[in-house]
This record gives sequence, C-alpha cells and structure tokens, in this order.
Amino acid sequence: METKSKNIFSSITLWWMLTVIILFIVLAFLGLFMRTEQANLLPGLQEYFYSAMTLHGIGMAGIWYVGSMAGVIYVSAKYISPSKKVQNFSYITSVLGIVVILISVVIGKFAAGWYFLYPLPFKGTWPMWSTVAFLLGITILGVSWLVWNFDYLRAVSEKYKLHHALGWQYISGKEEPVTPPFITITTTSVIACFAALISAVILIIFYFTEIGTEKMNDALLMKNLTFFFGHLIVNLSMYLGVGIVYDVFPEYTGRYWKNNRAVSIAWNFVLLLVLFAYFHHLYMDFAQPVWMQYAGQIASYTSSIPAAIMSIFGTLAIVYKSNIKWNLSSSFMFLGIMGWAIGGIGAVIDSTVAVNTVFHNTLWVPAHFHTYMIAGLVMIIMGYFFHVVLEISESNRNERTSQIILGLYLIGGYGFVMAFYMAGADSIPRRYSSYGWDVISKGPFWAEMGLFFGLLLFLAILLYFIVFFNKWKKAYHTLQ
Amino acid sequence: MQSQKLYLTIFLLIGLLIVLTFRYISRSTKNPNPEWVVKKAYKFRGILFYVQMIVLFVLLFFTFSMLPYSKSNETPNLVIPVDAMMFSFDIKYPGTDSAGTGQKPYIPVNQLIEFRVSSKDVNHDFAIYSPKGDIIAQVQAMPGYVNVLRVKFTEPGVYSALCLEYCGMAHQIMKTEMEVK
Amino acid sequence: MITGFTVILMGGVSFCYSQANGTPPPLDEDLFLYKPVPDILIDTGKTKIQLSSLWQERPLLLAYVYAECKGRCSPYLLSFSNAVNTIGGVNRDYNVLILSFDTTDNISRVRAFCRMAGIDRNQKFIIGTTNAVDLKKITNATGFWYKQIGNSNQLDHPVQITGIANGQIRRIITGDEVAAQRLNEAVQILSGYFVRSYPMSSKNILFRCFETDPETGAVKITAGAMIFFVPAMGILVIIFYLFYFKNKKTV
Ligand code: HEM
Ligand SMILES: [Cu+2]
Ligand SMILES: [Cu+2]
Repeated sequence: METKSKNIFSSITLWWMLTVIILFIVLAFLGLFMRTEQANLLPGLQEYFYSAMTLHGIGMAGIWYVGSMAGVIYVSAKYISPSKKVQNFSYITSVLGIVVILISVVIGKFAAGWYFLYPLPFKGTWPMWSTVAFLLGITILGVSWLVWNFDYLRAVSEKYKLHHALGWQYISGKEEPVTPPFITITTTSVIACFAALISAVILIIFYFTEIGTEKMNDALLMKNLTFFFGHLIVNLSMYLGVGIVYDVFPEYTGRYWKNNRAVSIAWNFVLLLVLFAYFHHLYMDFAQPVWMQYAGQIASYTSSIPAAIMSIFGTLAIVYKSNIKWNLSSSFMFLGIMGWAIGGIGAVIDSTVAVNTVFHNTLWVPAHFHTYMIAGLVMIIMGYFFHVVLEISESNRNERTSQIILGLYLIGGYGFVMAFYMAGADSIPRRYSSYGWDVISKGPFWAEMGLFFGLLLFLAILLYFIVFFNKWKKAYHTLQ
Repeated sequence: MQSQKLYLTIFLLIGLLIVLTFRYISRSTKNPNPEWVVKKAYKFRGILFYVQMIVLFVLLFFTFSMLPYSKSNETPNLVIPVDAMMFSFDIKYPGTDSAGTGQKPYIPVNQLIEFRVSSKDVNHDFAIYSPKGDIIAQVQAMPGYVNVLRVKFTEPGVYSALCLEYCGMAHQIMKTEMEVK
Repeated sequence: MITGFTVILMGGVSFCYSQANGTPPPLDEDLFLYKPVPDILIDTGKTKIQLSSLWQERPLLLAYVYAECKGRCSPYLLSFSNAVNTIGGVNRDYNVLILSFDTTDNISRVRAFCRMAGIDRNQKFIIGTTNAVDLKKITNATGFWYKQIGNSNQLDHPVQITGIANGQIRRIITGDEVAAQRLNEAVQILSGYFVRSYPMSSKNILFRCFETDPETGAVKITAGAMIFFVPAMGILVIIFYLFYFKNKKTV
C-alpha cells in the first residue's frame, strides 16, 4: 500500500490496541469460566462467579469503548488534531482506573455487577472499602474519558463550525463546505457521550453523598441514571465503531461514502433518539411514568431506522459489485456490520414492552448484546486494528490464516450467542451462577452448548492474537 | 404457539434474511462492475425506508395494546402483598397469619389476582414461571416502591416465582412456589 | 406566618418525642391488607352511627387524633386536610372520618381541635369519638397504637391514614405528612382502579424521582426530575464554550 505521512498517534494507538486485545483475551476467559460454572462443570468455584461477572462486564464494556475511541482518534488525525498529551493522559488514567477496579473485585470481592445497581453496592457481602474502591475506579475512568471527549470536541471545534460538523449544511440543501461523514458521526456520538459521562458523575456523587451522610437515595432515580449512562456508553461504542467503518471501508472498495442530506439527518436523529432509548431498561419498573415506557419503545424502534437504512444498507451498497479486496480486515468489518444488524433485531424484539414481559432479564438480554458486540463491534474493531498494524508496519495485506480465523470466529461466535438466545426463549434467567431449579432445568444444557462454541471462539481469538501480535511487533519496530 | 417461541422464530427468520443478504452482496464482488454506482441504490433505499417505517409503526400500534400496565379497572378478586428480600420472597396470603397455621394457602384459578410487590433491601424482580417453566409475567421489586402486578392464572398447577434482578451472592437461589387450584 | 412557625415548632417537638422514645419500626401495611375492620359505634355528637354505614356507599379514609395533642396531630391534620382539598371528592368519592383515640375526649373538644388544626366545617369531614372497647377493637385491627408519656396528658402515637373499602383495609398511608399524590392513589386503589405503582413513605431521601400532579396527572418538575436535565445542560455548556466562545472565528 502507499505509505502515508506518519500518523502522530501511531505509537499511542499501538499501545491501546495491544492493551485492548490482551485484556479481551483475559476477559473472554472469564466469560468461558462463567459458562463452565453454569454448566455445572466446575463445582466448588461457584463463589467466584459474580465477581467474574462483574469484572467481565465492566471490563468488556470499558475496553470496547476505549478500543473504538482509540480507533477514532487514529482516523481523526486525517481531519483534525486532538492533543497528544491528552491521549497519553487518557491511556494512563484508564489503565489506572482498571487497576483500581481490579483491586476492588479481585481482593475486595466486589460483585455488584458491571452497572452496580443501587443499592446493591452497599448491601453486599463484600467490605465497604471494596465498594469505595470500585466507585473510585469508575470515577477515574469517568474523568479520564470526559477529558478525552472534551479534547476531541475541542479538536473538532478548531476545524469546523458546530452546524458544519453536524452536517446541517447538507440538511439545508447545500453541498459546501464538505464534512466527512466520519466527523458528523463521531461528533454526534461524542456529544452524546458527554451526557453519559455527566450522568455517571452525578451517579457517583449520589453514592458518595450516601456514604458521607445519613441521606438515602431514591432507587428509581438511581436506576434511571445508571441505565442512561450504561446504555449510552455501550451504544456509543458501537456508533464510534461504525464511524470508523465509514472512513476505512472505502479504502478497500474504492467507492467513497459521501456525506449528504440523508446521512446527516440520520445521524442527528440518532443523537436524539439514543438519549431516550434507555427507557427500555425500566419497562418492568411500574413506578416509571407510563409515557416513558411508550417513549422507550418508540425511541428504540425508530433508532433502528437510521441504522438499517443508512449504515447497514450503505455498507451493502458500497460493497455490491465493487472491486473490494477481501482480507482479514475488510471481512471482519463487513461481517461486523452484519452482526450489528442481527443483534439489533434481537434488541428491537426485546424493546417491545409486551415481549419484554417474558424476556426481561432472561439470557435473551446477554444474547442480543453479545451479538452486536462479539459479532459486531468486536469484529469491526479487530478488523480495524489489523488494518492499523498493517498500515504502520507497511506489510502486505494477505494473511493465509485469515480464512481459518474467520471461519472459527463465525462458527464459535454465532454458536455461542445462539445458546444464549435459545436459553432466553426457554425463560432461563441471566446472571445465575447455577440453574438449580426444576423450572429452569434446561439452563445447564444451553450453558454446555455455549461453552463448546465459546471455546471455538476463544481459539479464533487466540489465533487472531498470534497473527496480530506478529504484525504488531513489526509495527513497533517500524516506529522505533 | 407459546409466545417466547414465536419471538424466537421471528428473530431467526429475520436473522436468516440478513445473513442471506450479506452473502449475496459479498458474492456479487466476484464479478465486479465498476459502472455500478452507489447512487443507483438510492431508490431502493427509499422503498426500504418506507417499508421499515410502516412495519415498525404497525407493530408499535399493535403491541401498545398489550402493555402490562394498562389493565382494565376490574376489581381484583384477591390482593396478595409480596415482599422480596435477600434471598427469599415473603408472600402474604390474606387470611393467613405469620404463624402459618391452618390449611396451606393457595391461589384460585381463573380469578384476577393482584400482587403488590415490594422489596425490603435491594432491587429484586418477581417473575412468575408456569409449571412448564415459561415466564408468564414479571415485575421489578424496588425498595421504596410498591409495584402492582395483575395476573389471571388460567391453568391450575404449581407455579414458581424466581428473582430476575441480580441481588447478591445468592441471587440464583431466590425462589418461591405458589399453588393454583 | 405564626401558624407556619407553630407547625414547625410542633413538628420539632414531635420529632424530639419520637427520638426520645426510640422510634418504633414503621407499620408494615402488608400485615393488614384485606383484613376486616370491626363495625364499631361512632359518636358524632348529634347521632351515633355504625362505622359500616360510612363504607357502605363509598370508601372511607380514617385518621386518628386526640384533642390534647401538642405534638404531631395538628401538623398532620393540616397536611391531611390540604391533601384532601387538593384532590377533592369528599362525600362523593370517599368519606373521611377523624376518630379520637383518647376515650376522655369529648366530641366538642375534638371538633375544636380539628378547627384549630385547619379543618373547616364545609370540608364535610366526619368527626367522632368512640368507647374504650370499640377503640381497642379498631386500633388493633388497623395497627394503630398509643401510650402515655410519663405522667403527662400527652400520648405517644404514630400517624397514619387507613383506607377502607367494603369493610376491609386496602391501603395504609404512613409518614409524617400526607402528600396529595399518595392520597389520590389510595382513593383510586380503594375505588378499585388499577394503580401500577406507588412509593412507600420514606424519609431521608435525597431526591425523589417523579411526583405527579394529582390534578392533572402530569409529572411535576421536582428536584429529582431536574437532575435529568443536568447532562443536557452540561452538553450545551460544553458545546457553547468550545464552538462559540473559544473558537468564534473558525470558518
Ligand atoms: C468472547 C467471549 C465472551 C464470552 C465467552 C462471554 C460470556 C459471558 C457470560 C457467560 C456472561 C454471563 C451471562 C449471564 O448469565 O448473565 C457474560 C456477561 C456479560 N458480557 Fe460477555 N462474553 C464474551 C464477550 C463479551 C464481549 C465482547 C462483551 C462486550 C461488551 C461482553 C460483555 C458482557 C457484559 C456487559 C455482560 C454482563 C455482565 C453483568 O451482567 O454484569 N462479553 N458474558
Ligand atoms: Cu432478589
Ligand atoms: Cu435476585
């Protein structure tokens, strides 16, 4: 490939990528451990289940958020100039936050789940210090990411006016000035990200108020804040990933994704809708005003329209009869969009209040989000990371093992999530360390299936790592 | 067909459609056609947009009539307070005292039952499983709030209630049974 | 002004009382739901009526007071009567009975006490006393208690509104104040309407999430609801700062 002028974020991106992939392997291992536990194959380690679940959940949500964000920064260097210092700061503080959370979970046995629903952190079997440490870890991550997002928006603002960054000139029918869709997508996502992080900060403040005073918090208010933050951060990771695809995919297809009226409308619309979709986490809380439940279903349904019409359809259109070069990166990204679509269907079905009555907090929930994570965002980011190491190390793009990795990954990944879907349809609850009751006696069977396919998936991830790490070392030396 | 299986089938069908579409598109790159430009797909995209809008809005309209909160104002035949706590449910059948003397309480079949569900400590969830093991209704049990769930049991048998909101280290053992006859 | 001050003072006094005596655990409503209420005899001064006559046509809200109370009774009555005024419908949707739980009270003193606490004549509340035996029956059935404080003529007691329909307890509202919204929900529950959810009385909450206006049913903008606007405001501030303040000149 043609050598580009060196991207100033090459070095920090290399570190981000390596950290994310290594943590991914560790966390995926914890995931397998959970499935093993649920299949009753490891009696005796039961008590570690919920700690593993907490660490796996917060870890995965965290690394794929930073994975996408780091990817976005690397791409963005083409258009804007985020601060290098801030990148280093975010990297170091993120790692610090992770370490603090690790201490809380591993030594302090903190196990309130990744979104630590109030008031469980105060009522568990773990010591108070581990709750404080966990909240502290979250605070560090929150601050770190706030700074990161702020800097990104600053960099955008130095180059674009707000309405241009958001692509409003296209909405009003003009073609000038040109804003790449990448900028529009990431700007809307980063703005929404602020909302998520600010609500996380409020949440943490409330927790610390309760620790410091006699005051109690309203469980409903806390739950709203929790899911506003949790839902947003996970969804925005996906949008950031999609933004990357918009920008990188054309390099493979030779066709370009132009910003136009439809693209701009779609992404501005998404920014608005994604703020209200979180209501669907509270359908079974009858204390929530009914209009919010309606709004939740409407927002969840309609937010699928821009995704399907613009991003998914757009990907298909850009590939159709193109001269695309298929390799590990492009296949992963293309199939990642497919996984996003399929997971999205699972999500839309469950965001129907009437369906949620029977699917709420069953394994259907991990089923759909693991689909758009494992088969969606993770594929996109893994594909993209590979693209980046190739680019930095200036190697050629052909990789003989890629067929095997891809095949294993698909079979393992889809088999793994299928076991979740089937279990969900059998009313098997999520977040159970074991399925001991008669009414949920199909649970262990689906856990075994999940474990089997999960192992294939794990193998694929390991193979990917070997191939990736090879190129990574090369890239590292190129930079020296 | 039992509702969970119906939703699963819908999911699998749409999923299959997506897979086939992606397959078709990736196959098409075997015979690249540089003449083809993305703009040609715009018309199709427009159609797709309207189709999706219509399907979703029909579904919205249809499913909004099935909300668990908009039950009629029928007076329930029986009101049963339920307190969730780590790690059990306290079902307070009317007419029984806490000593639990007398015959075992049960729930009458085909009558409107109102559960007033609350929690004494953290968030729990009161999910009712049919004897066959399917969830038929559920509601969150939130500390500080009483959530009202109305259910009509149409078949006799032993129903279970499990906790479906993670509530701590013994969340998976939180269960109770209710006899319907 | 003066009334407000006395109310606060009395509230303070009652608070101290309850502190001094070690607050007993709040009533567990669940233990009383759907339990029958004894059909006692009420003396309203002019006539003696059966309690059942008050729940025959419509549900009944029952509050306890005693005339000598220097503590929580009067602020409580005031908040109750305000709540009733807000939701309206006395004698149409429900009856209200204020019952004295001090058997030495005579009806005119109780009346006078109610007037002083802010209940006026045209509110159509029924005010009554009853005999010792009946009092014991009704307080036991509704989970109410009282005891003398030292040698004074003051009684220590909780405050509660008991909602009765068809002779059974359907809802008991506890808490130091009666919020109109709670009362409204109670009346709906008593009338057999489906109420999806209601908060339990709890003190010490930092911010409440949602309160709905009992008249319009709309969600009121409380401190709790305001919190949802904070992230939005935060975004606006940041955007404004970056795009319009810091980088005014960009093209
Ligand atoms: C790679 C293989 C993976 C395996 C084997 C795996 C396995 C699991 C298992 C068994 C659970 C517990 C399910 C339950 O019973 O509730 C779980 C939960 C979860 N997983 Fe994964 N997972 C994987 C990948 C991912 C990825 C890529 C993400 C990305 C975001 C992710 C995020 C989560 C989250 C957020 C939870 C919920 C934790 C909680 O309930 O607190 N997982 N995973
Ligand atoms: Cu529970
Ligand atoms: Cu539980």
